[in-house]
Amino acid sequence: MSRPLLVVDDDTDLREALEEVLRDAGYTVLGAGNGLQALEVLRTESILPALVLLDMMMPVMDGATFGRQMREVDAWRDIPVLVFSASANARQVAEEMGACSYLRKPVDVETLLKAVAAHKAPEAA
Amino acid sequence: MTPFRLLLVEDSVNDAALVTAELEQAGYLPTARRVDSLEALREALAAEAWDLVLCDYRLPRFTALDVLALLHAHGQDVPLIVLSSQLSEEQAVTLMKAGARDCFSKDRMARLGPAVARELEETRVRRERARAEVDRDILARASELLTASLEQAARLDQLVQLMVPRVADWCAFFLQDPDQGGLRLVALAHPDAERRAHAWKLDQRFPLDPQSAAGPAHVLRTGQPEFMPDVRKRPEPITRDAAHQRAIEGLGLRSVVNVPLPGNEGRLGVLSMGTLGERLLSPVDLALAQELARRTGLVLENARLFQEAREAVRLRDEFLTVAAHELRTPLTTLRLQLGTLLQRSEAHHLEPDVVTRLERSVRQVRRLGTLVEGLLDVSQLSSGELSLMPERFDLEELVAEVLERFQAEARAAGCELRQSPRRGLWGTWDRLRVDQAVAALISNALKFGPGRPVEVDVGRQGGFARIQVRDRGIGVPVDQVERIFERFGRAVSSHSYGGLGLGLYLARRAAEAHGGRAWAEPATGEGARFTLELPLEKETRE
Repeated sequence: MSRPLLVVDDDTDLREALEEVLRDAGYTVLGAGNGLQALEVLRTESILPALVLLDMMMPVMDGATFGRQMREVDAWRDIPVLVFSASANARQVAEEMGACSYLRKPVDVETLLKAVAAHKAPEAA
Repeated sequence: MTPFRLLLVEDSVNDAALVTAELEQAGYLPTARRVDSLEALREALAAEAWDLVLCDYRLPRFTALDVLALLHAHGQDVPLIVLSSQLSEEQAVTLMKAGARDCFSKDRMARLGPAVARELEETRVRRERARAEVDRDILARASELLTASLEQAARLDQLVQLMVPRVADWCAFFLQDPDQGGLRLVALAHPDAERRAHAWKLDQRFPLDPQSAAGPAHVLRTGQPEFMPDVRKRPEPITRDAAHQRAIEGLGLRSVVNVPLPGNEGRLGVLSMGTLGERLLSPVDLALAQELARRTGLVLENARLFQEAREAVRLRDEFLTVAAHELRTPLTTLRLQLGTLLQRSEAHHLEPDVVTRLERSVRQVRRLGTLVEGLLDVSQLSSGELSLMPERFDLEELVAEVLERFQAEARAAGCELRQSPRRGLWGTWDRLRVDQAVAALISNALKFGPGRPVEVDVGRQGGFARIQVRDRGIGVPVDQVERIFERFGRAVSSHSYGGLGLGLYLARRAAEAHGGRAWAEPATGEGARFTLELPLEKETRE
């Protein structure tokens, strides 16, 4: 079974739209409404995601905190993170948290799929 | 009758009376004091300010030379005239060399009147000049302090030190308390540590009564300067509170000047200064205090405005961050949903009508996105430069991407988009900003040149990369080629062509932030040509 993608965004409509786009493109998708839920998903799912698509500004636990805590666990450290932010300094944020890349909201379907394909972890042999 | 303060060094009461009579005859009204010992002289000099000293040459235990030495040691600028029954030419020369202004025999008293007149006048001019010098010096130092980058408290503290002891014995700033509204002592210069502590304590114990009929609070209320040449001669006490009055008297005030610190909206505080003991303040001191207060008020006001502006900018930036998040999130959802629907309708070969409608919606959502970005950028730009995040990329590839994005819109406008052959043009720029700038030029060309081809030429010119967008539309009148790059600037009526008038403005600001330029020229023939020029080498500013 191929590794899923994890979409973390507090806006339900947006998260579902993202999941839909990614499923249409053939991915398995998991969703989380904030950083804490995302950590819970990592803990409970048997297969680790190939990529985390991460919003920054979220209630309960924001993107930056989630990124830090994820990196503290050896098994999770190498999961690629694609920062997906509405902030003008998305690139800076991505660099600071050691994300593989960033996408600035709003974004086109094509750009989103291209970025996800480029940065997700390769399937294990 | 001209009044003046005369100090007579004379052991003979008769001679003293003679001098006074002679002076009265000459039209003077001297307030005279006679001393006949060096101790009495020393005490008289310390206690009061004198306009003239008349001195007998030889007294029982000292001579006029001793008097001159004492005057000199005391540092007071008081002219001395020596009167004598017998005076050799040699003695006269010695006296003049020692600093006597004049000397003549007591039997030639007729000379006294003109000599006094001359000395008083010369002293007055000399003192005025010296005083003007002091004022100039104090104000120059004050200006230096006021423009120095100091904390406000340190600045006021040094300002009051300037006035003491040269102009006054003590000097203080009271500022309006922003929270409680009353006046608070914020800086004080006073030679006596104990009295200084007393004054600070007094400010704590007796906050200035806003309704008082005199003093700093009164000046703050009325805005009128207050000058009490001599507190001891005031018919009424400064306050009706007996304990407070005793406390004030404990300060030993003599002359007091209170002047308001003017601000744009009302007064910011009060500059207060005064003397202790025998020294008195004059209208000249009042004028100096007013000038110092005026300059200080100006600087404090500017500091306050700067603080307010900084706070406003902070709030604005905070708002922009939130607004950006709030606006971009639904736009993202809309764009993704429409994109999915479009893909599916194409895949399932739905009616062409549905596809067209979805395409139209996608275009409008994208346009909404551009408008939102433009507005956010403009409000951010109103307080400074665009911040750049440079990265290395191929400009021709970026232009091709932008053109690709505009295909649907170009079709709708009936324009053919043509790009010059691509050879690769690499440089280090902010990808997002350049993308926005190119998009603004294309969007502009499609809007004003519908139905005609739009040519985009990317090339190299000296040390610059150049993107030229040529349309065949309505063109730009020569007198409008600059205006259209202004914020909200447009060459045509907003009734005939929509848009916020921000695209070209932002394009130019983006080019300038890179160290480049953006401009328009009415092309030969019809239409217009817009150029975006970006430096190729490392002139890109962070």
